[in-house]
Amino acid sequence: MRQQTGSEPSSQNLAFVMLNARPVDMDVADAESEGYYDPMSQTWIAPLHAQISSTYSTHRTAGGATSSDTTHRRDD
Amino acid sequence: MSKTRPVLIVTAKLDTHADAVISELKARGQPFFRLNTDDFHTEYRTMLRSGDRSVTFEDIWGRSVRFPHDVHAIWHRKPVESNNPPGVKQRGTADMIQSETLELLNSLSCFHDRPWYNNPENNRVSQRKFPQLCLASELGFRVPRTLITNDPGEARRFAAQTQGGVLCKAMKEAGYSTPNGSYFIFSRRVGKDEFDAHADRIALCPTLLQEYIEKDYELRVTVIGDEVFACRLDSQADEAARIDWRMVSPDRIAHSMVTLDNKVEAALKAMMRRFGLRFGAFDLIVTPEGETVFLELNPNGQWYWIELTTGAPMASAMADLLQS
Repeated sequence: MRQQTGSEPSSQNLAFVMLNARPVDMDVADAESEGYYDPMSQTWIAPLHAQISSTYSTHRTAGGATSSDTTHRRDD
Repeated sequence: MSKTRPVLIVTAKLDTHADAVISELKARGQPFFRLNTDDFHTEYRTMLRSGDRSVTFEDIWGRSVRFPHDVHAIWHRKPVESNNPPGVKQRGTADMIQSETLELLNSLSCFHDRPWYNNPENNRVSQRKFPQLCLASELGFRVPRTLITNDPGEARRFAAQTQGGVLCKAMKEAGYSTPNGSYFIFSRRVGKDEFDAHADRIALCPTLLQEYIEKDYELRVTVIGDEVFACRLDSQADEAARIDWRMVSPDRIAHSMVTLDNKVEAALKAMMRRFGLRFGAFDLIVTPEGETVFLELNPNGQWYWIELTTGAPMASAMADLLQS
């Protein structure tokens, strides 16, 4: 798995769990063997990385990370 | 079965699960009203009236529904944040509108006189990993030995006592974004050297650590009302999928429907009752010794890919539940 350690300017501040992260909007050239997570379709099927921005930003769960979150789009 | 009062479906415009179930409902002549929350500001008007305790939604095509009075049941599928109203670009304004809109939508969950699948308040509580593990253990499941901590010293002691390595996974967030990009967070087995090198980072953020349990295969068990769909995922045949099957396309993993052990099924249903759920998607593993281990419950989990892969009639079961 691609790890983020050292791959971001702020990597020194990454929490431990964030070492599990995998980039989902890297250049297509970098994405040849990267992916996946779809199950219909909470998205990200690299290198179709255009999809993923909708998962984490534009298309945030209603309620987002607030205490009143009412829905769970991120719920697998 | 209701064929007169509509089912209210709260979701987003792009939702293949809702599309599949709506096809079933249409075939049965069951009326429904679909509220796509992303299009809330451009396609819907709403009125909450204290006089008759009602919430009315009207769409731009002239359809309307009055909740709860005229609704048979409500399916809280996958609503998302609403898009900004046309012309609104300023962040503070957009946030204010978003918050007030969400508050309006959250008001629906206060009405308990119609069946919910599921009430989002129940989802919110039951999605939490720690209470899930506690309840699963109480109900007789083996669960991975787990520590959630922001103390690197405790984490190191836990790791030292854990044979087979430590698995790290997020409690809630599936990913995060920075100005440099977006990231997806998988469950991951952390090697000893890496753990030792980075354990101090645990002080930055509460971290869920579990003993890693070897598995023969995984089970994705979707419970829709009283119907149980247990799908075996043979993830261990693909090296990239051995720890977290989401690392590969589901096409690369053999899916097959199986019958659950009666005791396991009863325990899963008991967990759903305790959490007030009528729908749930469970992640279990089966060890090489044949022991079933509870990993987590997704109270609003995905399932339609299993129907497409195996032919299991899950959308039909969901339609049955919504009409029941």
